[in-house]
Amino acid sequence: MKTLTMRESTDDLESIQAAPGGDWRRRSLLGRISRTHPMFWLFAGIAIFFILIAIIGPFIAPHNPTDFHWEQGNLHPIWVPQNQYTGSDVYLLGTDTNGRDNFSRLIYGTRTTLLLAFISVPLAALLGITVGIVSGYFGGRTDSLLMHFTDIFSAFPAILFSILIMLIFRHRPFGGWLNGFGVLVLAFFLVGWVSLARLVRGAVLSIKQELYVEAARATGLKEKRILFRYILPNIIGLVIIWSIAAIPRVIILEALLGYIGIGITPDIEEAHFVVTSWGGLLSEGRLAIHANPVRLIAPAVCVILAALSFTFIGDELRDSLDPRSNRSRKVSLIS
Amino acid sequence: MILYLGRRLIWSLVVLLAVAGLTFYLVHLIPGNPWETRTGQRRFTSNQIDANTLKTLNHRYGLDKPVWQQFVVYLIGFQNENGDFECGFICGNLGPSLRQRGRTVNEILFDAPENGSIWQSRFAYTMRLAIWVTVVILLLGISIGVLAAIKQDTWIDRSIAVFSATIMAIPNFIIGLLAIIVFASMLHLISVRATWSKPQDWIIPVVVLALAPAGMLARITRSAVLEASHGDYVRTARSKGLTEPQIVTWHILKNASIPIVTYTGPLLVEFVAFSFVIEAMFGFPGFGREYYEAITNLDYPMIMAITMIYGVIIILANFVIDLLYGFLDPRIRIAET
Repeated sequence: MKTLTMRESTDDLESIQAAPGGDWRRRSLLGRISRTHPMFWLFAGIAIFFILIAIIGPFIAPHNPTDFHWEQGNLHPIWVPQNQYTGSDVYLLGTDTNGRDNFSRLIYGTRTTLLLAFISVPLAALLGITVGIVSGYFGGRTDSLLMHFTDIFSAFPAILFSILIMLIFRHRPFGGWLNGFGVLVLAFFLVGWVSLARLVRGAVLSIKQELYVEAARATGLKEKRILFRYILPNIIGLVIIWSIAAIPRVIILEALLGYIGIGITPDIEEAHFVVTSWGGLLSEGRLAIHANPVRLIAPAVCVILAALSFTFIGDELRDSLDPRSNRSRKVSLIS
Repeated sequence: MILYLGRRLIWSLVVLLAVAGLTFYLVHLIPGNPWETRTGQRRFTSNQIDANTLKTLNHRYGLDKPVWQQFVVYLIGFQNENGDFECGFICGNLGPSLRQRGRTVNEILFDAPENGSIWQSRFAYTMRLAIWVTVVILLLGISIGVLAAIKQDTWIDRSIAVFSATIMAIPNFIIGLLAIIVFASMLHLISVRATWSKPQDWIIPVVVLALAPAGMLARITRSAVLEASHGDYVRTARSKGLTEPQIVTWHILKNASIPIVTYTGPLLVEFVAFSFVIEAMFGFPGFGREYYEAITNLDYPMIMAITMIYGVIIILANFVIDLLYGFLDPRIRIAET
């Protein structure tokens, strides 16, 4: 990677020599981040924690998230002082109107939300890379089409676009698939790729001018080989940074769509994979904003923590991978 | 220059037309019709409407025609029953509201309420909110950005960096939710039924909308100020014996203003993208809340009107920013012509 070697050239030369063999690039990158920002490990820990919860969630959830406990509805958490609806120590975060355990629902919601991010971001990235490379490398009609399209798109708030997609597909057969999970993936996919395509196009345009690409072309390499050997490896860093920064965007958008009531349709059968999501919890908790605010605060805090940690990791990676980026260039993502 | 402006204007109109067409098409793809209340929204009203009423209503408002015909009618106009030509969107006629029947979209959005001033129309409310939010963003963002740059690499700089990163990462509707829980539900500091005539009613929505962009602006200001403070002109100014505040205001901030201005465009987009959620959340009487209702009730002309207002605002803002570039940096002006 060109940008990395530029940075490594002087001050980190010693550390490279001191560690012969090993993967010096990765080590020095993580080392550099943790040197300058001790908080990095805190946020990385939070992110890993959420991912772990998403994977082992069903095994650690204390209750079935869809079980109705009729006599124990609307319980407050036991640690909240309250005269009415005093909590029970069985339910850590209390219960909802139907007596379902909030804590278990939160754990299951984590799985849905993170899975959504980890499915839709790579999909959007694939399309973004393809369109970006094609329009940046070959130019021509694709290029002008992309630029016009992004022009139109930038005058049209992306969130409205995703709301429209949700509304269009929700009540169709496809929309019901996995309680709306499929439509959510589609919405993020359709909205997300545009900004990456634009970034990749810019990067490809500048890499195309580099001497080594010209040299490769002069030696008679095929276009396909130039693309895969010289162009693609140079934009991978950009794509990784974009992807990590896109994760919190997806989480936030999901929470927002859920909050206004058009996200995941909460399920009452545990057998179904998508039981609820953070957005779905926000939408249910909204009705209890004054009565039992914990139901809103708990998913809200999860969204905040996840957004904070993934954003921070993305920022750090960007600064470390691309020393030329001086934080003033805003990497505009989904919205 | 005039040629450039003319080209920009024509391109803006093309973009607006495309946004209009896209919105019109997508909105009509949404299943359902504006006449029925949606399941789950108003549970106690009947969800059914008899076939004859449906047909009559659809015919009355032209919803039985193909979508492209409806779009032409909406955009250009149509011949009404008396044979007169009624001009459409291009004359500023935004059409009738389908949910609030009997009122036109223009009346709802732009007319003052009964015994109220023109400043209390839906449109004026949102514009006032936008202006206050912008003021807070600029004041807060620039001042803490400059402070961070002046105190570079001290604990002040570092804590400002952490603060701005934090408020940027947290979505504003979540902050709004927590604000309602804390200030309305627990502390009873704000009224749930605000009248929006007292300044204190405005504080929380304005702050909620302004926080994230202000954090972003602080970051940009900091790096722009740091970059500008390395210029030769700063050394010259210092050797002339100017005081530090003078240098910061007239030499550093002026040269740092271009990246700051560049950011105002995306800032507005962000305001637009989230303002309607915040408006609905706080019960703010602007057109953002109207938008929310219109989308959930499929009030086609209302959705179109507000999307177009948003689009015009964004395009205008980018246009003004382009003009400001030329004003702030004469080199760009020369290059353009």
